[in-house]
Amino acid sequence: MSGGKKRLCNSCKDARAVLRRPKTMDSLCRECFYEAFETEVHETIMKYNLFKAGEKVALAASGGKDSTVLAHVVTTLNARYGYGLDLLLLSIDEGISGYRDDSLDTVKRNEETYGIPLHVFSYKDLYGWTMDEIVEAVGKKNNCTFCGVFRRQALDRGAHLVGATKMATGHNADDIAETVLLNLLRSDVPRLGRCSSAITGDECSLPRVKPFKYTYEKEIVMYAYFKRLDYFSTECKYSPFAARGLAREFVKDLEAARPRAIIDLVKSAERLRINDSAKIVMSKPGTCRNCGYLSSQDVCKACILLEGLNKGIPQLGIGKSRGGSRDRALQRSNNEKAKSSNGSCANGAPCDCKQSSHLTHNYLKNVEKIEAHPAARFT
Amino acid sequence: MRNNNGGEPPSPRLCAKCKEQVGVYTLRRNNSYCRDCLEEYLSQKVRGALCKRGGLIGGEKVGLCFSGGMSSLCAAYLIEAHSRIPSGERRQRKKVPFDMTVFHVDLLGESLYQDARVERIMEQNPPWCQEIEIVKAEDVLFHEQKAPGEHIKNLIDSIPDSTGREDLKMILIRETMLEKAMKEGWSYILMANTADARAREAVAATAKGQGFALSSFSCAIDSRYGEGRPRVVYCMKDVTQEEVDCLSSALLGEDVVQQGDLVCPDKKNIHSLADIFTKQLQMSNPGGVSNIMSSVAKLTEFDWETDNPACCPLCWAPMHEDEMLGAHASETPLASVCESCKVGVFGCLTNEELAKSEHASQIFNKLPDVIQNRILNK
Repeated sequence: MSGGKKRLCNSCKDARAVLRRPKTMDSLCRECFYEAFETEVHETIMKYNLFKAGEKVALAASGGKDSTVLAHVVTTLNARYGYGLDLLLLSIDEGISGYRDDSLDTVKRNEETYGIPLHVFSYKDLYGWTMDEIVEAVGKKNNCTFCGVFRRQALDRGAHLVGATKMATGHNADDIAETVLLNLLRSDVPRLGRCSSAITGDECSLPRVKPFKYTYEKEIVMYAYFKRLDYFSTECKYSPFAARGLAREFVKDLEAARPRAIIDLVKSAERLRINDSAKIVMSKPGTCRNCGYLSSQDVCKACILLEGLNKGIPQLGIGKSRGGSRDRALQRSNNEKAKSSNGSCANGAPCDCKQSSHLTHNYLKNVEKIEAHPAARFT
Repeated sequence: MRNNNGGEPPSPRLCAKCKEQVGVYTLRRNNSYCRDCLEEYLSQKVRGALCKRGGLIGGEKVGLCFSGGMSSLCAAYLIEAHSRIPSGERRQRKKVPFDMTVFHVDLLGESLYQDARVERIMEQNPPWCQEIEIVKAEDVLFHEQKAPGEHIKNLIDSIPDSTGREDLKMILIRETMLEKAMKEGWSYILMANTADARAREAVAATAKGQGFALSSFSCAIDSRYGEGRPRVVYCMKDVTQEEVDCLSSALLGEDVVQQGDLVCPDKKNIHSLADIFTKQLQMSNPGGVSNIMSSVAKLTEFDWETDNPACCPLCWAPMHEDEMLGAHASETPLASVCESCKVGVFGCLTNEELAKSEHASQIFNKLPDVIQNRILNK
């Protein structure tokens, strides 16, 4: 907000306006912005009946701005409107060094700030692979597929373990708008139909809700900034290679041209004419015959991807295999097996890998043991 | 030309279809066609859209909308050279007898030719090209105004939103076409939008909140305009921009023009942004446009005769029920238009804002009578 003349808040007409809402272009003071922001989230929760009293809700927390603001706002609204929720923070350590370890320390601080218990589960324990190892095997092009699939299942398994009955994620309007475009580009009509829903899987034991369905990413950043919330702002080091990049750039350009375009993208997905047979495909969950996880296919995607990784053909679940990467993965697989069997590395040197995970990060105190996936490496 | 080993030069690639002539025009990186087979391949697509899906059987009066771009020219060529004989003549193999008028809607007195290649071809007076009838929008829609040309310009300039201005231009062009068709007794209007253009329109519609109307972009035939009004046939909907570029190079006798750097002419315009997006997508993934159209084709199609969906009285987009909430109870008839038109053309988000907005009333009063009546009668 610039200019010498004092601009008053459009809402209270009393205090000085300190920001312009990206969504509505209203000039607001801090307090009115907080109220507008929190009220819209509350209205989304009420409109879609996202929560019921007595539910144990796991807030998916990465330490980033979305999940930090989610924790703050849901805690605030839970107290203000008496939702009657039992909240907890649920985090997944994908094993991205220099990124996830630092961001999870932020979640640890949020645990203390909001008084909500934090539970952390790791890819390494669950799948036998970290994302750094996966990227080395797969390359930088398709690794987001692995991370997305694995994280979803890790969150679900972790949530079941801690007794949660619902999961809330910090997916915002920008994320949903990008997903709408991606599904349009992939010709995935069933996903296109359900990606804009505020609540998914409500017929299952762990529904997922998106209280930020209509909340703009810029407003989440503004809220976090003005409230001085503690969040980790660095992007994942593997994200520049994501396919979402083109869709994200387009959404940003659309927002600059017409701020309500983001909401319009979400509304377009809500308004699609999808025939009944596609809807049946959308809502028919089964279980994976391999691991028992919820899956619309006979074998879930996580099992397929893991099989590919473990066999040294990481492209198994996503595309054609490359000989070079297969050989490297096989070599690594042999090295790891040798390491785990005699406590030393394959080259004979004493193994100090466990010592290198010395507790330099606070969140590690919250990492809990989880039963390994049936298809995990070394099971 | 010799290869690196100094041996015999490689033999030229033969046409993928006839395997006799040299394949000069390459599509989808792998398939090379000779000129005859390229034209036959493309005219098959056009005939399919016209006859199989469009329903032309012979004896109809048809108008081909010529925008001035290369796809219009290619449509005119493919129809005249390969698909049409004059009405009254005996039906030939692969040719249907119907009368066709090629017309161009002149909205703001701009040049007929959008593409320099089109101008170069037309200057040669090719035998397959008919005279293009210029239809002035001011004469059709605003003939009662004192200075109709000025009136149209004022109307368009009064829209502050860049996307809304372009939407209104398209609305006025469509309205002119429909009025002209009714006056001339045309039962069909042919549009030359390519698959790439339709994909771009679908992306722009998604960005404007018109998801309910999305399935209409996969139709070859559009008969939403009601009784007595012509059907619109998208005769080039299965032809890609790459194929149009190849055909244009054949007509010009030049090499295919390579895509230059992509620059967005107007970053405030959703249509321009959608154009750049689909082009970037197509460059990174040659199946991109086809994936978009495949998505759209999987949605539930509109059966215009039986479904009878409520359409926006301004832009004709089918409206979802939540766009019509409160329209009947509102003080202003403008509440009956779709959300995209409310925001883009009238600059208002809610029915309450529309009712109070003088600017919106001024724009409404400048619209052609035929559109005003449709809004008032909704």
